[in-house]
Amino acid sequence: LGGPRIDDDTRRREREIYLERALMDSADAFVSLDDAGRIRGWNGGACSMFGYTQDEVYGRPYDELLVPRAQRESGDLERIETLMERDGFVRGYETVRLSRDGRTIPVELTITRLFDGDERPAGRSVIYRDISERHRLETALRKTVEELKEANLNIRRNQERLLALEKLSAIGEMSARVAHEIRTPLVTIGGFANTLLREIPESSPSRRYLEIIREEVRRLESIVSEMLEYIRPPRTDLEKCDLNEILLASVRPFAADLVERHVEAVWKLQEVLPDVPANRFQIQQVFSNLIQNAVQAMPDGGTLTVATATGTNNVKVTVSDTGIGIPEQNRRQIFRPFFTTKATGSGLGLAIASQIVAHHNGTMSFETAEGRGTTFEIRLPLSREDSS
Amino acid sequence: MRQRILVVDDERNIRLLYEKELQDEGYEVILAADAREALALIERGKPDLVVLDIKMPGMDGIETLGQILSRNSSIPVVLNSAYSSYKDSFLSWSADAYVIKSSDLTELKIRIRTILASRAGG
Repeated sequence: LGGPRIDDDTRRREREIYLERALMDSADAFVSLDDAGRIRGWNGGACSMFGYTQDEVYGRPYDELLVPRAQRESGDLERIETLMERDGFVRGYETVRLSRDGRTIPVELTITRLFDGDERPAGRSVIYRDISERHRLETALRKTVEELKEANLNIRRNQERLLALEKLSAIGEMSARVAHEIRTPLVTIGGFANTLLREIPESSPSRRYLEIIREEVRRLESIVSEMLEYIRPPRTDLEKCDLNEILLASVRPFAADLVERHVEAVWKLQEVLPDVPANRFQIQQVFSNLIQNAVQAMPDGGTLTVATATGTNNVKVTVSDTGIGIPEQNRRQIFRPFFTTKATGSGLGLAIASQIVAHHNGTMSFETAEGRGTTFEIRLPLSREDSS
Repeated sequence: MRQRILVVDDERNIRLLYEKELQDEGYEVILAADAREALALIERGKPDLVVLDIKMPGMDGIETLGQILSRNSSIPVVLNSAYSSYKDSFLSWSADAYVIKSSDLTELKIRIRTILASRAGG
């Protein structure tokens, strides 16, 4: 009769030993608290997670030891109490706890009530699971999502700019065709006026009218020529250019404007800047347009900051103002031809600038905040090969 | 004997204007409305100079220039166009001159005279 009893006792003892080992050696921190919240049990996981030995923490109030001040002040413990009262336990509660060396450790809590042999409440057991790795992954994931969003936005922006460029070149093509079509009838109108002028007598009063026709035709012809010159696709004669030098030359014409409008110019030029292949005249046009916009965005004065820096295979130029910023509803349209918010603007400044930068295989972008200002950034490739 | 100039242009009014103006300069003028007509006229009787429009339906002026030069490379050709863009095309370099169309025919007339004079002298 004694045999099976001994066997049961041995089994129970064995089970308890295994359970205790499992508990003691667990990577999760097991902490038991008495009714007053003082630490009574402390396993190996708690030692390595928080950096205290069992002896060091025995009898100490857990909240002072493990709960960071910020957490206490933000009502962390009250929230836990509310949950305990409502459910009798807490599971999967995410918060942070403090280690001996002052590190905050992101943890997930599981809290259950403990009872003694007579079913009387005897404190709580708290299991802490270190979730820093999960946090790290979540943060990394969030960052990746942000990057994807950003990339997506860039693609959309580029698409919109491409559309704007296409529209611009379609307008250019159409204007060129119209201009050429007009040229031919002008040749015959003016040409025959000349023929008649040669044939009718010097004394004829009609000469005056023919001369008017001739003059007006010449006027129209010169308008057509100027227009064709203007819309001719820009020649991409590239030479090695020092962008610092071009920037200085671009700001110079605005010197009087800056003083008059109480705009301070701040230069942050990288001292030794590599040359980039560019059409000096066109790039100066781009810079001038940006500087003009910046100055006009600061009717009550401000700071114009012009900066250059070397990037990866490119040179970066930024032109910043502390002006009115670009309202949300206009941001998508600013590179569109004929889009303007100014009473006297042609709406071609930024369209032309972005077309020129695109011709140089560069990129152009901007950041803006209403009431705080706008920064335009241009990147031009260091060599033609890097430019695709 | 009067020098003969072939004017090739698809615009009837341009042909009429050039015919009148060049006749008044003392030249004999023959007219063609397209490349095919022009090449046929050159076959029949060699003109002393060709004034050639570029933008024409069918064979354009640049291609016509190639045909003329391959048949009879000694005929001087003056390209005459509303477009300046063909100036950069290296094919148009083989022409003796490139004159952009204008109601003022002075430049065209001067070019024709100079080319014919240099040919006569050489």
